[in-house]
Amino acid sequence: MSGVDHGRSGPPESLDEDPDWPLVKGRQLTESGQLSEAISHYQVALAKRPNDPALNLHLGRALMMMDRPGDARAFLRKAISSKGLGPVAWFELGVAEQRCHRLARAAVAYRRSALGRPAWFEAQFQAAQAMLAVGKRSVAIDHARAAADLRPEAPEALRILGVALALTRRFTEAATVFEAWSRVDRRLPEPELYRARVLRLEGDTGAAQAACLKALARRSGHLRSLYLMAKLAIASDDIPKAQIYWHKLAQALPDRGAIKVKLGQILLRREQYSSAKDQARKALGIDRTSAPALALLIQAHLACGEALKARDALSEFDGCSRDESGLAALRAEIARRLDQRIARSAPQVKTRRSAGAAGAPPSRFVPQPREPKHQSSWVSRKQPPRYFPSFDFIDHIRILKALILKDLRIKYRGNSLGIALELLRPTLVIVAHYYLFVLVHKPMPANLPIQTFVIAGFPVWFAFNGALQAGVHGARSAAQAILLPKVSAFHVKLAKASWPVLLNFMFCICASWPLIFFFHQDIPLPNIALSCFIFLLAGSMGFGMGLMSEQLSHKWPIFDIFTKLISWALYVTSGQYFSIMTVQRGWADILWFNPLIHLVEYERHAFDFGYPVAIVNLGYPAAVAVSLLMLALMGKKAARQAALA
Amino acid sequence: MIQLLEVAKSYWKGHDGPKVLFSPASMELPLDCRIGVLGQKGAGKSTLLQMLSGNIPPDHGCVLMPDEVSPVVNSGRLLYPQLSGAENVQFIARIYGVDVERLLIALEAFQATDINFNQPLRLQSIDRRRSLETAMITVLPFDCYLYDDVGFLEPNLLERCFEAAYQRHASVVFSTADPRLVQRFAEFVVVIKGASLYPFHEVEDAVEFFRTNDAPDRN
Repeated sequence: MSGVDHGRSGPPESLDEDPDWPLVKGRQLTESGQLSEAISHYQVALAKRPNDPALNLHLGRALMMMDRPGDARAFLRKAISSKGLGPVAWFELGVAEQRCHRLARAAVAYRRSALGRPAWFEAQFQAAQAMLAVGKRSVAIDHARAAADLRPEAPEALRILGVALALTRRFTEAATVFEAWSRVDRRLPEPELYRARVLRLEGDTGAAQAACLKALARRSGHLRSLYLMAKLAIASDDIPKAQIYWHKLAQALPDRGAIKVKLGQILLRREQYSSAKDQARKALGIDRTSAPALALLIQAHLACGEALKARDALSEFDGCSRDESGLAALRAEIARRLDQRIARSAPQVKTRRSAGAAGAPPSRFVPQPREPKHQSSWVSRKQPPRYFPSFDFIDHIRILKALILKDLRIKYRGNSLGIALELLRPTLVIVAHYYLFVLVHKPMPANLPIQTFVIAGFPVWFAFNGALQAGVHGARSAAQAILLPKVSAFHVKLAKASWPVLLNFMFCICASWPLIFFFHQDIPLPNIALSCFIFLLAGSMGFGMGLMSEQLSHKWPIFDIFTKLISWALYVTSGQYFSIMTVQRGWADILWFNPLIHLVEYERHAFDFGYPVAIVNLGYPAAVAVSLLMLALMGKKAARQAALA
Repeated sequence: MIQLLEVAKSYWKGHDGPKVLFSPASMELPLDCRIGVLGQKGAGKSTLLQMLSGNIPPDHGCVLMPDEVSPVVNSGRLLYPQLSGAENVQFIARIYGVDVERLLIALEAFQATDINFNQPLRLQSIDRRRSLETAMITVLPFDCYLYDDVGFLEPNLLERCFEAAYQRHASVVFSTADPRLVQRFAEFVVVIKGASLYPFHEVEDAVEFFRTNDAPDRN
């Protein structure tokens, strides 16, 4: 018996003459709807060839069509033995077992079918679904993945795969799969809703809200999306938004008391007591035995100071409600407030006080007696408080260290290449300028190698510019640190300025090494002490200028543009493209006033002590840096005193 | 004593002109008790606490506080969401010169938070972040603790915080819009109403004044 489908036009003389004839006849009867006749025909044929797999399979199918899956199973099991029909028979057996509600067996049958024919989408999909139903999630993921690979456009495979991944707590992968499902099914809200659920489980509430909003955009008023959005709003402590979504839910499901209770609880939290009471009463109107609704009503009355009304509500609805611990506590609270009310209405109590006691206070917080060990371990309160803080230099250093390390963590979190990328910019600039200078055959003063010329020049500028930017903008995005007493905007800016100075200094020091060791180039290494001093001056100058610029731009906002223009002018004239020794005398006299050119020329001198520095002087940039810093600090102090005055 | 000398504060609200939070007023607040600041939403409670901590300077006058004042807790902005709980603890410990291990042990002993210290805070709920912030500042030694909007904190955590402050002889200033919390926790109350600060030694008087619209009986 080789196959199942063979077309025949007429009957043979006998059954022994053509072995395919019973199958053809049976199929003709099945197609014409004569299922009973087809089954009888197959049974007659099977009496002669009881182990024929194709006959068994077709008889099983016919029995399934007659809605007799229990009978079909026995014949399908016999058909399994055939190599060619095995996967089909397993699949049919799986369907039969599933119809008989024997899910575990169905799952095994589907799995065998999928393993027998891996490129069969239905088998893979059904295996995934059945395996997920019986709790074998990892196997389900394998089959669902195979099904999704076979038909990437099939939404049901993506759904099963996403669900299985989510159930194994692989939320990130599940979110990606649901996103793919969302791209396939662009109208359905479910893919985005499922994605929102897994993102919420992953802890990314913001992304979950965005996904949920997409689901609502696909179908406004989608109840499950509304419900999830309301829960997400509560999780992110956005109570006004939560109120909106619970309100929408309450409108969409007017007969659900639990939703009204939820809305009431939100309203209570927002101190909208009368609305909360309305919702509680509506919920109690739907279900008089609802303990949460009764608790809400009592809480709302108590919040308004209506102890009597709370007692009335309790007596009105409490008869039918389940007794819960929350209600017991509320009962006690009502009793306590009523007692206080009686005490306050006594003649010896002042009238004004008793009138204000509508919302009687809860039990007062009374701390435990102080323990002696605490008195010795903390600063004694007997000392007079110091109104003028004595703040040490060490404290400033400690704060700066904490801020620098924090910046470092935040900047490069989750990115191991972060620092390498930070070094990429100066590297690219230097390499580009190196090739530019080689191309134009730029003459180098004192035979300084071109590599050294650029390595010594640009990092000084980057350090200066980084410190300048930190001085101007450093504290604008660091509100958290400034909220800590003793940490000022100055600390934050200084910490932000330290990082570019330190990074460029390290770059300047280390950039020559790879060229020497890997490319065997004969270039000098810098004098570290002199370089350190130069970068310190560059950083100080940039920082001082940044602080000055920030103060002036507070008063005259146009100064921002002025600062940018100045920094460009300083860059162009800072000697990155020339040396002050090689320009004409008149130009050199003008360029001398740029303090950066002194630093750049001295940095080249730090690499090669033969590099001439007769015209430039480190004292000038040092004086400029100190003056700028002093002026900036004095300006800040003056501004503070003016504010106090 | 906490001294407010002719303190005034206002904000410029675009085309609406200036919004006056506090007209110039002077007062002394006792340091040996829990001070509750009671006011409606937007009345200026958080601004007052930020002024006490020195983060916001007053427009006029000055505020004299003890040397060691805590940052304003529960403003929700002290911790960095990009960093994990442990890294935030490390940052705060470095800023205040405290041993990180000791601070972590103190936090654990305080049993205030079930936060995952190894996960970035942005992945954790706002309640957990708030609990961590509150607990972390409370276990650090200060002369005065400032808690903003205590209605958002768990009552148990709040009790533990106030208990800890009491044990170390530190004063507490907390703000809320809920008179019940003032009745429960405060020993001295400042009510913010109509751009003015009204100090009350009697909590019930403060609550009564807060709930009515009449001018207070200052006698």
